[in-house]
Amino acid sequence: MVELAKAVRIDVLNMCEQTGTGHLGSAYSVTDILAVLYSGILRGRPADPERDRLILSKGHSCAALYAVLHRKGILPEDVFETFARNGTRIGHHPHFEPAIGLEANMGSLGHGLPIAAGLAFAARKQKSDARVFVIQSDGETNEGSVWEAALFAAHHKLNRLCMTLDANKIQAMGFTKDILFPTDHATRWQAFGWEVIEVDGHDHRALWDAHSRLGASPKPLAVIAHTLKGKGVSFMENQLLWHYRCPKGDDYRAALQELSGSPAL
Amino acid sequence: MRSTFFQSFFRLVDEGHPLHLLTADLGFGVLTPYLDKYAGHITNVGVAESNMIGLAAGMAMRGFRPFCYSMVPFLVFRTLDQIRSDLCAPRLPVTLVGVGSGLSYGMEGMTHHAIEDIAITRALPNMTVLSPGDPLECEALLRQSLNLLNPCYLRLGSNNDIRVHIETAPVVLGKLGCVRENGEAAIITTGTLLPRCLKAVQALAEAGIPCRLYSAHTLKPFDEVGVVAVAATCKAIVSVEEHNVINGLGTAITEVLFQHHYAGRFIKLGIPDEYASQLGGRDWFRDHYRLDPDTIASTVRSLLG
Repeated sequence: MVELAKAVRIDVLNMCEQTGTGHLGSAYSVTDILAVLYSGILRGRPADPERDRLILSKGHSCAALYAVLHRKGILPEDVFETFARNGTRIGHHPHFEPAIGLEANMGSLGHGLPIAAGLAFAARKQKSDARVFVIQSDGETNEGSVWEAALFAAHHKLNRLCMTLDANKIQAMGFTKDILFPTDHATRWQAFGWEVIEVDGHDHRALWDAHSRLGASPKPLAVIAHTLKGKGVSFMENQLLWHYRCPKGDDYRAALQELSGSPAL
Repeated sequence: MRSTFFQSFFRLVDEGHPLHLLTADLGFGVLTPYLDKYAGHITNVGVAESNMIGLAAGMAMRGFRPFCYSMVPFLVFRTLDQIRSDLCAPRLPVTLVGVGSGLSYGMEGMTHHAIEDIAITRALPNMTVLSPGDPLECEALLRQSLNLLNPCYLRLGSNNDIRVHIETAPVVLGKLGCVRENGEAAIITTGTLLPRCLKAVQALAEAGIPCRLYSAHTLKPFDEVGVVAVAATCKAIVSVEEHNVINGLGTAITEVLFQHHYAGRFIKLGIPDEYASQLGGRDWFRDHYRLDPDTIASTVRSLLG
């Protein structure tokens, strides 16, 4: 997991640098979550209709997802190397293509949880034990559809549904606490009828343990992962600028050095 | 039409189709009789339409054939982003059942009017758009739509829609439906104005003017070949719809006629590009906007003039 996360961060840096892509900070806040999920939590390959599914609802952080899928052999090399180039199938937000691990159209915020709830609801009806994981950003929970789906999942006790909140505290225009009424995430999801676990979103062991508890409660599971935007590169951490900026020149070299030489995150 | 829809829907459930009805807390009365017997096939998701579309997408990904039921504005306008990203782009076989086409719920106010939905849904790639003219067309289209592998919008009226077809409707999804086949003039309509158009045709017949009548129950894919065939033998065509005159049935016909160098005369009747400032019941509105048999018939006459 540690090696995977480290490699993915370097992949993402290179992908962004080569193509002028932003959203690096968002990709780095979710990298450890993805690395843990794809290191044994998610069961089944894309061809298996009974596989566990992951929907990255915060689609703008997809560079990290593509890198993980590529390293796990789900996203083929010849597709991966076209990232964000004209004619590609993998752009700045993922398109639905389950065969390469992309389970929904992601990019419009507030869509992932409803779809995930539908998958979990259908699986329940089909007496399948397939599970559904969805990752949202904290800014994304401004969207009303998130809370429509949260109520539905709680009402139907969809306890094979796991929502991981990548709470990096920054959204498109600033700090989440400054933009919309800052209620404590855990309190809010509990109030909506979810089982809640709060973790350090960069602590692999804690993430593993939290996600392993899916199904233990009759309620759907919310893992509130407290993360740092830009985690792994000191000058990107907790900086709104790196929601948009593409690393070039000295920035790129400094980031690469830090990521390559950094001890296990 | 609502009652017919539910009757046909649950008949298809009985036949073993993996259908599931999601309702956004609507259907009291018409759906109530089925709640107990078909409990496993119905889910009330609450007043939460955007979530309903996402749920349907997820269910379709696992092999269900979900139907989402609500009034058109809440089903289609509120949720457009979900419809395009979650249903249309991935081509998931989810059917949106919108009740209250046009001004069916006239007195309820503009929040309940639906005069923009044909324009919007026809512009969505991968979407099939169906607009039955009477309950028998609704039943036939519903059954045939189960062969579709893409999302579908079924535009229904309310509950007092008049039957035009007698026992079985000669309905083929994707083809212009012929209701009256003689004459040098043609009325092409869609949805529940069909009975009014039939009255116009009957009035014209009594005046010695035979006029054809077609139900364009499939608005997408649009039967271009069918319209061209009508144009080839008619010197006057009138389109009639309970929808904004912008980008509805009339516009679709105009495009076909123009591209095929139609030499005859054509007029489209519909709702002007406005939100109603006065309210009334469905029939009042239809008269108000001159979608009445007399106006339709006199429009045909004026073109033949």
